[in-house]
Amino acid sequence: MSLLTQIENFMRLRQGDFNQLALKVFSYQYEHCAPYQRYCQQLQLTPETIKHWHDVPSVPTDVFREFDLCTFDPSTAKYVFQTSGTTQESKGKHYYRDMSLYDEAIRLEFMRGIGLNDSGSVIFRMLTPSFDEVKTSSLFYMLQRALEWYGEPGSRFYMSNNVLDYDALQQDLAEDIAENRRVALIGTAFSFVNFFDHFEYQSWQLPPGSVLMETGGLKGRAREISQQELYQLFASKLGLPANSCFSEYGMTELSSQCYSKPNSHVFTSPHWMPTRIVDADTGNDVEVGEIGIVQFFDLANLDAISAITTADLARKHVDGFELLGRAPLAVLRGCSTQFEKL
Amino acid sequence: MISALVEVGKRWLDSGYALRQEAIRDAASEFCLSSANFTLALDWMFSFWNEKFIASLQAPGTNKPIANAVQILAGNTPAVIAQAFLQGAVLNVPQYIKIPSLQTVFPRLLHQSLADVSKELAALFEVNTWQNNYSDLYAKLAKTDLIIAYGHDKTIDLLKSHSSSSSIFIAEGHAVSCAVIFKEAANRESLDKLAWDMLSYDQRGCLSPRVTFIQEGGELSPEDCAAIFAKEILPSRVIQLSRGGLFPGESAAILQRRAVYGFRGVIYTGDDWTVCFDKELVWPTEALPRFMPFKSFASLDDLMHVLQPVKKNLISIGLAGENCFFDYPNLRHVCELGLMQKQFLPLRFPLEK
Repeated sequence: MSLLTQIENFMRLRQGDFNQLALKVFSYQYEHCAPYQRYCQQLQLTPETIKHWHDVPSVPTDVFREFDLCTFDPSTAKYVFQTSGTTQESKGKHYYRDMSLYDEAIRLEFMRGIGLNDSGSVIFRMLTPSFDEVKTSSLFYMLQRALEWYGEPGSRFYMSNNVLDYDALQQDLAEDIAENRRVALIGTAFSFVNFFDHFEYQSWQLPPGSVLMETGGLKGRAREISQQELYQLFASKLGLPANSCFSEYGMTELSSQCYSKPNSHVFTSPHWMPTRIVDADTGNDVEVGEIGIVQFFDLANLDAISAITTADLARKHVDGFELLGRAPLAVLRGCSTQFEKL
Repeated sequence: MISALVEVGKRWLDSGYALRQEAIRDAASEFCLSSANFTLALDWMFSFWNEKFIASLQAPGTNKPIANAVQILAGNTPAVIAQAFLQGAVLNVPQYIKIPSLQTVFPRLLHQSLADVSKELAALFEVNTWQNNYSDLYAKLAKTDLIIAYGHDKTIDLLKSHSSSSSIFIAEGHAVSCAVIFKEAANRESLDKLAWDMLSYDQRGCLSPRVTFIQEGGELSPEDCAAIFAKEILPSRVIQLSRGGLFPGESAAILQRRAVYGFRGVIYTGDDWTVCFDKELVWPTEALPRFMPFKSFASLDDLMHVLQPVKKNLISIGLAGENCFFDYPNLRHVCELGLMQKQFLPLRFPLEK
């Protein structure tokens, strides 16, 4: 059975042992990604010496800005997703030759993650560009797939050429309300802030069962508001209670995403992408309640690097982690900048 | 006045002086420095408080009359604070000193020691921290003859915009330093001197070398220099001069940058230091405590080329070997390696029209 199939089976059915599969993935990446191999050799951490996935050399996201980290010739990639970047700094790149694991992660998690794991119909209102327009965004890829697979006719993206079509969105929401259609309103945190700013004196009462998903950070950008304030706006401007609003946490370097639990800002990751919150000094897991750096091991990253160290700080919870924002000296980045560049 | 300042300096150099002991105990951590490092800093800083040096500072830097001054200080190292008080005392005019809000103990103790020796001298200074409301500061700036501002370039631009056009504005903005070892000095002795420049102040000051450039063709290759520095020299020196704490986010940034260099070239790490070598001859982007990238260069032209992008911000170069001339506008010190931190940068009055 191919490694790809083993991973798919683990993702779908939890078949197999995660540690064994992770070590196989590490061996594969070590063998086929030359810069990673050199790095691991320098650390004297190789497939021969490592027995547990915790010990697999984890690659910080900064490295993706300088190196092509993939297991194949990057010039043959089908898609190249890039980090947003805010200034002239180099962008991190994630090369894909095959989207099957990425797509599988969307199929298994997206609808559940936004609280729509029933079979009812839903119309998507995306406050973002489509992937057809921005072919380098992993977020827009995910949203376009979700819209194609799960969206009712009429689902659409409202941003084009860096302009949000406020009028069309307003009109469509009014119709959704009139027709009592269940809506999934999806965008970056900043797109929502701008949307609310634009319609300062207007509010909506979205139909029952409607949900909202926001993604991208809020820290360090032009107009900073807290997560709590944002969720208050979701309630007051859209009539969506906290248990209908979800946060997504993903990044270009990963192929899987995390979602917040209902009524909570605690994120959980799927079983094929365990999360560690570690002390940046020691590399050891922090205790519950303590703050550390977020690390992932994403099996769906088969053709890149699975062990990823983010530059994000989080507080460890018993059942997940609470994102606290970027470590202060890290380069500012995030999906929200896509919108703020307007 | 000179004798009072000399007396203050003597007291601070006395290991039994109560305020010195209090500063080592309570102020070192405010700068994220270890007691050993802060003690060394005090010894260096106050070695300048002698009659001869203070007299040399009294040379007029301007023909304009100065009746009052404002000094706005940054908090990277205590040296800036000691220097500001000494320089301010020499100006001998009433002045307002804005101290960093996170580093208040040392400036207050220093002010107190001035008062203990000469109430008149201490009365020149009104010492205050940054407040959320800047209107008070801006009002002062508008009617001040001399403004000395340390900090980010953006902060300095903002302060400048609030100052009077007739005032003298001395800006000490973003500045960087580096170490250069020419091939004739590519040896253990130079590396040992470099260790002191790297470890003192934990590379937090603008006079700390951010990167070491080593010329190829010497007794030790640049790669060997990095390896010997990391394996033989640093481990013994860090015992003598331990690192202080880290500011929030620094450990995460160190983690990220270690890996970047690990991919680029060779990396050596200790519990609290990082040494790396790579062949990419560019000025490094990071400024992290006890984090030293080594780069190799073949010729002086190569070196000049890599310094070109930072030439406006280059303030100090520590040299071993050839003593060459660098024609950079803000370069204040070209000194022997090992002495990069033991400097006092006199005020640079702008050229008068």
